[in-house]
Amino acid sequence: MRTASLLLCLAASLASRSVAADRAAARSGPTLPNVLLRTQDNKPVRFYDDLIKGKTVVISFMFTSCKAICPMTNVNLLKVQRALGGHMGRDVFFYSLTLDPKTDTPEVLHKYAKAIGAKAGWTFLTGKAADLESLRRQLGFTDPDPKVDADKTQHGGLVVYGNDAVGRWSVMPSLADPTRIAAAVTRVIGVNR
Amino acid sequence: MTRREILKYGSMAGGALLAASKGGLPRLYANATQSPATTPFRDPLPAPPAPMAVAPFTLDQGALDDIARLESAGVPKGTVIANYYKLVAEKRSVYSHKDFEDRGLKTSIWGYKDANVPVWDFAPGPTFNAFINSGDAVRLTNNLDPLDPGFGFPQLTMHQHGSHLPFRSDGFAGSAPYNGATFNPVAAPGGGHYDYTYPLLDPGFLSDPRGGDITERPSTLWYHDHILDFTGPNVYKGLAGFFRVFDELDAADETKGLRLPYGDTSQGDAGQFDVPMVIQDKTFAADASLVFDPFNHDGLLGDKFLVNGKIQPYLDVQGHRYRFRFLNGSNARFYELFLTNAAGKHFPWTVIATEGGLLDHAVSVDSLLISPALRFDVIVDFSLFPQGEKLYLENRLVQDEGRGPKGTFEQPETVASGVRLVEFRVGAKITDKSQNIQPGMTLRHFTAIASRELSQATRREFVFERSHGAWVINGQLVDLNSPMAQPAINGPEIWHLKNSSGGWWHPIHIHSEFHRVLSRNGNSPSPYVLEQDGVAKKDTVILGPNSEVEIYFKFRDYTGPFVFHCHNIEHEDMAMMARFDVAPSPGQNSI
Repeated sequence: MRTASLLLCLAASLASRSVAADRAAARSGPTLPNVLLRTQDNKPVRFYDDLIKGKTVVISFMFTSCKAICPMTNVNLLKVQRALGGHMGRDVFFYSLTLDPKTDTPEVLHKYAKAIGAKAGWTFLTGKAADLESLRRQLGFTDPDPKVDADKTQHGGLVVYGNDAVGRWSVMPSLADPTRIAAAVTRVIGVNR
Repeated sequence: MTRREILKYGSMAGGALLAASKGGLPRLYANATQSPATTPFRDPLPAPPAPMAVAPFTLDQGALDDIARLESAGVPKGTVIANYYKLVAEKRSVYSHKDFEDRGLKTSIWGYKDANVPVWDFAPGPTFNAFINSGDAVRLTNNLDPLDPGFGFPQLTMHQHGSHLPFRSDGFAGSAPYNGATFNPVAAPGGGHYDYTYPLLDPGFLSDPRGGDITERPSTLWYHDHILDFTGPNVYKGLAGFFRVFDELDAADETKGLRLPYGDTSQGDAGQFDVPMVIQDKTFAADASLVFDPFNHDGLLGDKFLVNGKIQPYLDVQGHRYRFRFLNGSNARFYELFLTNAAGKHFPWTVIATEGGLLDHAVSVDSLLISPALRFDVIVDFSLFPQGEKLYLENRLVQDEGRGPKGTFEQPETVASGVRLVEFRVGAKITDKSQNIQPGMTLRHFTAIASRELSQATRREFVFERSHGAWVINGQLVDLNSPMAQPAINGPEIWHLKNSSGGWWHPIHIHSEFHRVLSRNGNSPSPYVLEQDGVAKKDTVILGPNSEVEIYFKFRDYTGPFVFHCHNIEHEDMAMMARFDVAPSPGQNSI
């Protein structure tokens, strides 16, 4: 039984390897899952095709009932938004994905976005728990310690940013100095020109 | 190897098996991707040559200002720089393994090359050979395309790792305010350049009555990119090279000084017995392109082991003593290095140097625990083995995740049979003029820091922690704009480095000066990693899970901004770095 499951795992991993390798061969940057999500306006969107493809983006995870780290991240991201000025919604898009899709329906996210004063170009997203979990893992909002990983508040402290057009991605603490985050994001837009 | 060992080890097919067997969703990139199979020991170990000196050229004002400051502080005029070099950072394609070459599959990398050479076939940059008190000026021209797609960031700043240098030439991580102006160390892509001055003067040359502390001379340094947020991908992509420093004791001549293995300079085989080896792990896609996961900030592990840019190469050795200079140039992987034979028997290493230069005396150890950025120089006498024998540089450490190896610092987990990184093929015995260095033999004698000096030291504590998926030092994310500490020039300092981050390992590197390890977890430093004061000097100290060390420094000669950081480069890029400014002090000479 153990051998069989190991073999199965091997087969699965080999299959996923060839897909990943083919993708890597065809593109310079990582390929992100194209799962279906919903915006705070209840609009269905494909994660890769509609949100990422060809764009410079800033991605964070949050949940509306999060009391400590998420509000601090949001306050910081609002400052980053301000610093980015006219780039927001034109060259740069912010995406905040919920870690608690059960509670965070589009309506709840809509209210939340309004309450914190998110400006144009900042979209809040929910979807199926399994899809959001897959995105969380692939974007690296994880911890190898299962206890820490199970604590949702641990995943609100990062922002992934990148420019899909050139496959340049990186990640930063979301509480970093907002001018530093804005400068980093501007640097990756810069290489697009 | 048993299946359990394969699973633990993550070698060959093990990495993918492991990723899948641990449950949860496999990661998209390197940690879930498996490189194509390659046959070990098909490529000779590459030996990147030295750069060719160029005619003196007019340096940029910042470099000229550094030279002028040194001259006005008393260094004889016109002697600061003896040699001029030109390096280029470029995108190039190299064969990482013969199996790839057979199929015409090149790996695209970013690398340094000697500007005099039209094509540089190596992954690492040129190996510099410098002599103490004979300075080098190096112009780095950044020929990377600002629009070059993929991972990494094409703005560059080159760190001379382990060297005692003016801050301007240290490879500071980005532009920052200093002394009322903006200091910008970046060589911009598309042809921008930056001039580095490496005076290579003995630490304390401005204050030490002996004219400098000759016991603090480096031997194996390396240079690598150090740009803020992107050092991990940039080093992984290839931006690294060796920088050897010699003097009258370690003389690049096996008939002089300590007569360390080097090669007969009169026979045109100079350097063949002094072999630097940079060990790196990487993952390759089916087309031999490098795979990098920009979303992995635990620490990037590869499933292929490269030495000097080739996967598992071999080295034909003669029956002669060799000096190997091991550098762990990996982003996050630790190794425990053994010298083994085909039957799995291992032989001790005679260690002569760490990253802090020659040891006080040679030491025999069974294995070398080497974290990212650490160096060990060892002597191996191949005349003791029969012609035709095959020996191996073998890694037996278990590490399957970026946070560090399995086990504890005191007892890392090893396997009986690990991965062979290099095969040494023993040839015929030949005449050997080098000295037969035996354990216990004095190399570069120095004494441990006296207790009176320690009692006068300024004490500082730095806590290395995880915070919401990132890493902090004393609760702070990296901030290049303001210093976390301002040690005064020539003031003794004791830094208490504390790892409070659970199961994470952090190799901590402090720029500008070597340090002495005074204690580990309240006890004596570990003889196991050759870190104790009186035996070794260091530029990087390993913090195992929940461990703490006390280290001693004195910052001499050079004031200004430097950094210290974790050398698990993903941790460094995720903010585990701090600026410190060495401050001038009344009555103390400095520039």
